[in-house]
Amino acid sequence: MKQITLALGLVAMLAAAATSADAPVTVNQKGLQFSVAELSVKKGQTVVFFNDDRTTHNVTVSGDGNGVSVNGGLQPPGADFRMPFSKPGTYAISCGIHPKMKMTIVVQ
Amino acid sequence: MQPPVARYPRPLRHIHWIVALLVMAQLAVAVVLTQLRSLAYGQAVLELHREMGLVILILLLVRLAIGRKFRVPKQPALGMPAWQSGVATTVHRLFYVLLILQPVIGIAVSWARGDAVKLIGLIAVSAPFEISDAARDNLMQAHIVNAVLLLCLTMLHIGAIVFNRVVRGVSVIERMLPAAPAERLINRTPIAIQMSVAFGLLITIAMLTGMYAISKYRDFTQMTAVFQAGEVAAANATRTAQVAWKELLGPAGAVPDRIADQPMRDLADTARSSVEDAASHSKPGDVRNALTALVGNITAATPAGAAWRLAELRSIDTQLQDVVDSESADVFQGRTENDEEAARGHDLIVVALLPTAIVGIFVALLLARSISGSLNRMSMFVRAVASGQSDGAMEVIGRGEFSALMRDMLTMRMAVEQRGDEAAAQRRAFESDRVRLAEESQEREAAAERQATAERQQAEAERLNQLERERHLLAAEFETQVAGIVESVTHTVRDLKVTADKMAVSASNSAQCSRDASKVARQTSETASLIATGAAQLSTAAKTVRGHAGESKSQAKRAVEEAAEAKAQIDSLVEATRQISNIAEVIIDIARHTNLLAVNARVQAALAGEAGRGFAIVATEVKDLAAKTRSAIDGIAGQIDQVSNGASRSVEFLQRVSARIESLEGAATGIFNSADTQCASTSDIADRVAEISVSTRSVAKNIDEAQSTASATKDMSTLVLEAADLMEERALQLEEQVTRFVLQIQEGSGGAAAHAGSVSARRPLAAAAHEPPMPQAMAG
Repeated sequence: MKQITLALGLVAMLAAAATSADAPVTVNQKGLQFSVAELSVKKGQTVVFFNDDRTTHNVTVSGDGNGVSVNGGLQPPGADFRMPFSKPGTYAISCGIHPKMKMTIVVQ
Repeated sequence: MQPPVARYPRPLRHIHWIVALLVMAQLAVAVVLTQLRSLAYGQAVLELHREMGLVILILLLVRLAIGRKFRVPKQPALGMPAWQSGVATTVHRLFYVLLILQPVIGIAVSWARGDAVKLIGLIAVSAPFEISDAARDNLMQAHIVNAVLLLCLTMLHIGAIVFNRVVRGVSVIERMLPAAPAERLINRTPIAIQMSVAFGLLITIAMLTGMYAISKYRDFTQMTAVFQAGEVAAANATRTAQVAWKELLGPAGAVPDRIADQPMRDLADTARSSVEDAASHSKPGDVRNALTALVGNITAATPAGAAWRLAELRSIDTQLQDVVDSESADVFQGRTENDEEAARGHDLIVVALLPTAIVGIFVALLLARSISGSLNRMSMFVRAVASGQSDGAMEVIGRGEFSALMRDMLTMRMAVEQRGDEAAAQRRAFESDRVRLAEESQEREAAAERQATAERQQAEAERLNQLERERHLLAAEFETQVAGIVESVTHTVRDLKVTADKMAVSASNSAQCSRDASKVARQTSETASLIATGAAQLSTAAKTVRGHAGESKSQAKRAVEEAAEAKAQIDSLVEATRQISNIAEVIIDIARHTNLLAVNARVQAALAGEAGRGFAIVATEVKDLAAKTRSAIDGIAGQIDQVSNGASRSVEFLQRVSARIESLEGAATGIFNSADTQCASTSDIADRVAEISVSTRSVAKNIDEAQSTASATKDMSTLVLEAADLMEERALQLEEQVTRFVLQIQEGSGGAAAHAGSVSARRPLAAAAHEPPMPQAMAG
C-alpha cells in the first residue's frame, strides 16, 4: 500500500514537473549550419535539433566541465534529436559530419 | 578463323580494371552511406569514399599521362558500324570527363564542408579558398547528378559488351584481358577447391560479421541491462526519495519546526532508504558521493525525538534535486551511448555487406575467367589437333581438373600421333607392295604382250599369205572385169558416137523447121493482132447498140408506166361519171316528186278558188321547173353516158397501147440482152485474139530458142563426138595400164612371169575387142 501510494505520488510529481517545465526549443539544421549560433535555455528544458537539410547530420553535445558528453548519432534528412539539458552550464554543439556546423547553448 | 585480338597494353588494362572496381565500390559506398546510423561508421565510410575517389583521380591522370607511350591498338577486324563506333568513342570520352570531374567535385564538397582532403591518411589538404553556401549546395547537387550519369554510362558500357558478344558475336572484352599463352595451361588448384575456398571465404566473412554483430548485440544487451540496473535504477530510486521528501515537506513546503510524527518519520525513512538504494545502484563518482552524503544529511536532519528544522529539510530537498538533475543527464547520456552502440552494430552489418559483395563478385569473375580461359585453351588445342596443326609442346602446370584433362588430351594426342605413324608405315608398306605388284603385273603384261605379238606376227604372216593369194585372185578377177568394162566402154563410145551423129543431123533439121515455124508464127501473130483490132471495134459497136437498146427499154418502160397512170385517171373519171349519174337519178327522182307536188298544189289551188290562184301560179312554175329540171338532167345523163362510153373506149385504147408498149419493152430488152451478149462475146474474142497474138509471139520466141537450142545441140554433138574419141583413146590407155598393173602385181608376188604370160596371151583378145575409132567425117 505504501509503495502504491509512493508510486502514485511519483507519477503525480513527474506529471506536475512535466506540465510545469518550459516548452522545448527547436534548432534547425539547414544549409550545413544551425539556425542559431547561440541559445540560452533553462535547466531541464529540452532542445529539439531538426534536420531540415538534404544531407545527413549529427548532434554532438559537449558540456563545459560538467561531464556531459552526448553523441546523437546520424540524423537522416527529416529526423530530429531531442535533448533535455538538466545540468546548468555552457554546452558546445557541433555536427560530427560537418565540422563547420557549430553553436553554443547556455543552460541556466 | 578468328583474327588475332589487338589487346590493350598491360598498364592500361590494369588501370582500367582497378578504376572499374573502384567505381563500382564507390557506387556501393554511396548506397551504404544512406543506410548508416552511427556517427563513427558514417565518418569512416565517408573517409573511405573520399580516398577511393582520390585514387580514381590519380589513376586517370596517370592513364592520360602514359597514353602517348601505351597507345590503344587498332582492331579494324571488329567491323563495327559507323554509328556504333561513334557511340563507343563518345561513351569512352564521357567516361574520362565524368570520372575526372567527379573526384574534383567531391574534393570541393569536402572543402565546402570544412574537411581537409586526406590521401590515405598521410597528406591533408585544406580548402585553399572559401566556398559559399550556395556554391556548396550546387557542388553537392552536381556530385549526385554526376554519379547518376556515371551509373548510366557504366550500364551502357556493360550493355555494349553484351550486345557485341550476343548480337555481333564479337568478344570485345577480350581486348581488355591478358592473352593466355597457347602453349601453356595453368590450373594449379582444382576447381572444387577454388570454389570451396571462394564460398568458404564469403561464408567466413558473413559468419564473422554475424558473430561480431551477435557479440555486439550481446554487449549491447548487457550494457543496457547494466545501465538499467545502474543509472536508471538509481535515478528511479532518487526520484522516489525526492517524491517522499516533497510529501514530507508538504504542499507548501513549509513544515514548522516540530517533533516529527510517525507519518513524517515514515516518509523520511522512505527517502533515506531510496537514496541509499540509489547510491548502491549508481556508479562510483560524483553522483554516488552526493547520494552517500545525502544519506548522512537526511539522517542528521531527521533526528529521533528531536524537532526537525525546516531549513535543513529544504536543503536536503535542494540536494535531492541536484542529484536528480545529474542522474537525468547521466541517464540521457547513457541512453545515447547505448543507441550509438546499437547503431554501430547495425552499421557493421550494413558495411560488411559491401566487402562481401565485392569479394563475391571478384571471386566469381576470377573463377569464371579461370574456367573459361582453361576451356578456351583446351578448345584451341582440340581444334589444332583436329586440323593437324598441333605438333608443339604444351606445358601443363598444376593439379586441377583442367590440367588433368589437358594431360589426358596430350596423351591422346600422342596416341593419335603414334597411330598416325603406324598408319603412315602401313601406308608405306602398302605403297611398296603396290609398286611391287605393279611391276610384276607389268612384267606379266609384257610377257603376255610378247606372246600376243608373236601370235599376231604369225597371224599377220598367215593373213599376208592369205592376202597374197587373194590378191592374185583379185588381180585376175580385176583384169577380167576391167577388160569387160573397157570393152563395154568401147561399145558405149561407139554407140555414143552414132547417137551424136544422129543428134547433129536432127539438130540441123530442127533448126531449119524452127526457122520456118518462126516465120509462120510471126505472120500468125500479125494476123491475130489485126483480128484483135477488129474485134475491139466490133465490141465498141456492140456496146453502142447495147446502150441504145437500154435507152429504148427505159423509154418503153416509162411509156407503160404513163399509160397505166392514164388508165388510172380514166378509171377515176368513169367512177366520177358513175357518181354524177347517180346524183342525176336522185335529181330526177326529186324532180318527179316536185312535179307530183306541183300537181297536188294545182289541185289544191284549184279547190281553193280565187284564194289559191297565186298559189296555183307558183305550183305551175314549180311544175315547169321540175319539168325543166327533168329535161336538163336527162341531157346531163346523156352527156354522162357519152363521157362514160368515151372513157371506156379510152381505157380499152390505153390497154392496147400499153400492151404494145410492153411488147416493145420486151423487144428492147431482148435487143439489149443480145447487144450485151454480143458485146461480151466481142470482148472475149478480142481478149482471145490478143492472147493468140501473145502466144504466137511466144511460139515464135520459143521457136527461135529451139533454133538456138538445135544449133547448140549440134555443137554439143560435135563435142560429144570429140569426147567419145578421147574416151576411146583413154580406154585403150586404161587397158594398157591395167595390164601393166596386173603384171606388176603378179610379178611382185613371184609369179609375174606366169601371169605376164597369161596377160600377154589374153592381150590379143583385148586388142581384138578394140575397134578403131569412127571416122571424124561420120560425126559431122
